[in-house]
Amino acid sequence: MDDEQTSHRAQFDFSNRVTAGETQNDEDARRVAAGNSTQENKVLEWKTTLHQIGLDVVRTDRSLEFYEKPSNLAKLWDILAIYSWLDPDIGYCQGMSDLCSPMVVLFHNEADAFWCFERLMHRLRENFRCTDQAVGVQKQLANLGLVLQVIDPKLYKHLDELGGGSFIFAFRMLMVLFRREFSFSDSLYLWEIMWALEFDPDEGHPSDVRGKQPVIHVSRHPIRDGWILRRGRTLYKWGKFERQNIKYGEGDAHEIPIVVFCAASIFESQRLRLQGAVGLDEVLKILNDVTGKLDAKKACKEALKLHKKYLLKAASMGGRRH
Amino acid sequence: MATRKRTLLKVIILGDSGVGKTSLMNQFVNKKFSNQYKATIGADFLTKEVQVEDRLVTMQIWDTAGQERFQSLGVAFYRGADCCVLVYDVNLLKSFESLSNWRDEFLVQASPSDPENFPFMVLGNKVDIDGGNSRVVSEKRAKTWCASKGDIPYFETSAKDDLNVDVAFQCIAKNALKNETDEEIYLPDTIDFSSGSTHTSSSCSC
Repeated sequence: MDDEQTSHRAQFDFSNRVTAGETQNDEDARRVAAGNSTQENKVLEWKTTLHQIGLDVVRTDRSLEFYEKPSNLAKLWDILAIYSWLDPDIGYCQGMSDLCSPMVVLFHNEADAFWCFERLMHRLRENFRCTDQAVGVQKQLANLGLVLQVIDPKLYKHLDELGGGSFIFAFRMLMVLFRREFSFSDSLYLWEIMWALEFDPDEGHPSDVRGKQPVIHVSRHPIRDGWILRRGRTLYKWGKFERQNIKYGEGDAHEIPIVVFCAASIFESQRLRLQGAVGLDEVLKILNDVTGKLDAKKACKEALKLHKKYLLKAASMGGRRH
Repeated sequence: MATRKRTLLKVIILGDSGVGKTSLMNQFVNKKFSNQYKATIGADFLTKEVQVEDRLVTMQIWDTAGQERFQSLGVAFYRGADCCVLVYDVNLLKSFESLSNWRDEFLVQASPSDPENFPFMVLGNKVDIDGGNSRVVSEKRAKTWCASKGDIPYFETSAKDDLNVDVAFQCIAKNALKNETDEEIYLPDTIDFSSGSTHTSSSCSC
């Protein structure tokens, strides 16, 4: 592939497409009203999406020297544009550019970056599913509430009484996997540890089709007897987080990804201050204050501890938990 | 969460993605402008003390995500707002046309006790771009719209050049405060006397 040529084309298309998205909206809307084919509607919707992508690409990680080069911005734009076309149910949602940017930085080849982003979205796309009533990530926020309720009922009760039972103040943490709380390199370090801990050799199996198993892939074979073979392999092949799920997990405990426990570990690290908070604004401020002061390795270590505590407690509570 | 007579004013900034909500907030609070602001995810706030006539009040300014599909989160963030600032980009017609939607959505989700008289403010931002040559929404058109919605005060701003930003936010504080005095003061059933409280109920001068 002629890299130079490709990036020039992309750069050119970039400016063109964004303008198209801006100016054609009115006319487009009328045509939709007149009733056109589904394919045409898809194209129109995509053009509106491109406008949003254009707005966000130019303000994603702009402090990095890497993105001073227009051809690199064009790569980010290309990947998001193509993804939104291929996955119209999700399209493009703010936050996705934060998740995609590291792939563009890490892989010189645009196609490689695309497919890595696609696999990441395979895990996370449900977070970005938006309806008039809710944003998908709120399911994970509810999980965070559930976890805190089990491991630290006192803190949970306090936050709930303040009106924070929906845990909306942790929205950003889970939406972009701590990209905003950590520096660029620290967040990549965190991602790497999280994904290693969650590693499941069965993931990516042909039976693992999009839509069939949304959100984070989960192990479906709870084996309580310790280190025994699973599909002919020893358990050490699984990441530590997954092993804990297999060893101690029951029922829906498997559905909760490690990122939720990382968030819980940050809440726990601030529990004294949070207990003293008298309003949700103060809660948000406390959580914002930790930005830039977090240690990725420590957060993961604590997350694992809380995960084990949660699984054991949840199992002992058994039927009492709904 | 109004546990005492408030000197805290909660202001919500709404408007389409990329119109400059974060920039306006930062220009007002930190006197800074940057080309490197990231898209806002969820919501965030900054506070600033302002003098309104003889009162010192704390403005808590909430910056929100502009992508339309996040509107369902509004309920969580708009509650208890004292003023709502609607921002559009004078160079982008669609952002102006969205103002009605943002206003309606706010009234539905925040459900203020007196929606007819709830204080709004409209800011036409980015007037600096291209020396004003690329603007597509005239001042007259914006003012006409504001008049039709119950005489909403209107300012033309540039967060980049710090044009009218202070004046606008001063006006916001004043209007929010005016509205507050007409309001019943809400006293909760329980009051938290725990020592951790950093809010002191000082300066209830009125």
